[in-house]
Order: sequence, then structure tokens, then C-alpha cells
Amino acid sequence: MAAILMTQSFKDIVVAYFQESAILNERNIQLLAKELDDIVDRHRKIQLLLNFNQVEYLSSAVLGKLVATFKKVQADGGRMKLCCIRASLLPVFQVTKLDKLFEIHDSEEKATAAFAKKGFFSRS
Amino acid sequence: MLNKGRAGFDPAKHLPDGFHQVLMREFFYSSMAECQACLEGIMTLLRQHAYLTSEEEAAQAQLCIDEALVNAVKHGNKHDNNKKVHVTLYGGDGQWAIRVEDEGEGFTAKDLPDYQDDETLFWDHGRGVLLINTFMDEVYYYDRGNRVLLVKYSKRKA
Repeated sequence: MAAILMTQSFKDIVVAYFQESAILNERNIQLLAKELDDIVDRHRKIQLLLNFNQVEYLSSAVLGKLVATFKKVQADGGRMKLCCIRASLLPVFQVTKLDKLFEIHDSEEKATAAFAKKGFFSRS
Repeated sequence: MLNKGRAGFDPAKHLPDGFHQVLMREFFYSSMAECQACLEGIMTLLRQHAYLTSEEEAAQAQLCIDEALVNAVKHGNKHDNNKKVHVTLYGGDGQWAIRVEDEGEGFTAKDLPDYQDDETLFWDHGRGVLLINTFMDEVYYYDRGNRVLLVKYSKRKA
């Protein structure tokens, strides 16, 4: 089955790597939504890191799915962070103010380290 | 707040100065597959004509065109396969523009979320128009809101 995400667990953090450079068409977006749902459903209080290293293009529909996943993770008492978003895509997050909603790190190391910190000082 | 561009400019009758070429003129029946194919065709043309000079410009162009086409299919024609989306792509020296027209009822600013309201941060939709408005240089919704003209002045020219 073609997958949009490939996941790996490091200790108690689930890292989901995007496998596609462009997540645009309806099928990909629906697949992504389902995969995100499944990942969150499989883990209680998930510590989820989405790695965007591969992603060159996305659409507002993808942003919507990320917000939906974020809400779901939070409702379950988990945490979700993003990392490795290309400089060319960062404006998309800034314009929509999603850089305020999501914690975004420039490297996977920084993001995983941030999970280790708890509470109010978890933002690096 | 919906439109940005020149006051008094009529997007139904005119194009901004400097456009001398129609790069593409076509229509498709409202389906997401056709929509995707059209987007790919447009991106290929923009690349061939060297309008996308950086990764950032390409990402933003693709995003805006995708939003405009998807909006036409989804919100405009409501996925009705009998309804068409007309697309025209114009080229000029260091500038490109796209006109997207659907057969729907159109929309107004009232239909959109208030982006200043922090509550809308949590919405899982409604960001497309904001992104188009930010990344394109001129944006004109016209008629009943079922047509849009987007204009981009490539950084190459500046």
C-alpha cells in the first residue's frame, strides 16, 4: 500500500516522515488524513513528531489536516511537534499563524530534545 | 479585504499591462483528478517559461493555483461533474497571471473566517484565500465572486 507517511519510534516518540514531495491531490490528502488518524489511534498520549524534510509543496487542505490531528492529539493528552520544514514553505505556516499553534523545530534532534522537556519551558 | 490590486481596474475586461501571451486556455469538468492534471500542466508551463526562479516562488505559485482550482471545483461547482472550470494562463515579461472561472454562485468576504480572530487558528479549513492574498501580487474576485484573476510579478524582474 502506498503510504504518505513512514513512522519510526524512538523511545516514546513517534516520528512520522513524509514520503512525498507534493501533498496536493485529493487522494494524497485523504490518505494522509487516514494515516495520521491511525497513528494517533494506535498510541495513547502520543508524542508525535512530523518530519517535513521531503515536502516541497503542500496546500491549505494539508494545513487543515494538521490542525485536525493536532486537536486530536491534544484531546488525548499527547503532544505534537513539527520539524525540518523547508525555508520555502515556512511562510505558509507564518501567514496562517500556524507557526504559533504548532511548535516547529529546524532539526529532528532539537524537536526530540524538546519532547524531553516538560511543561511551560518545552519550547526551545 | 478580499481583493488587492489597482483601484478602478476591471478584471473582467482587462489585464494589467505587460501581458502579451496566452500560455494556456482550457476548461475541465469539475473533478479533483482533472483539477490536479490542470495544475500540473500549468506548473509545467510556468517552469518552461522560467517564471519560477526559486523553490519558494514555485512552492507559493503551486499553492495559490491549487487553491484557486480546488476552490472552483469544491466550493464553486460543488463537485458537479456537469459544471466546467475555465482556466486561462497569461504570460508577460517577468510576470504571469491566471484567470479561473467556475459556474457556481460565488462568494463574498462574509463567507470567510476572520483571520484576526485567534479562534480561527483551530479551524481545519478556510486558509486558502488568505494564502492566495498573501502570495499573489494582485487578486481580483469579480462577477458574483465566481471568477478570480491572480497576478504575479516574478522576482526576476525586480
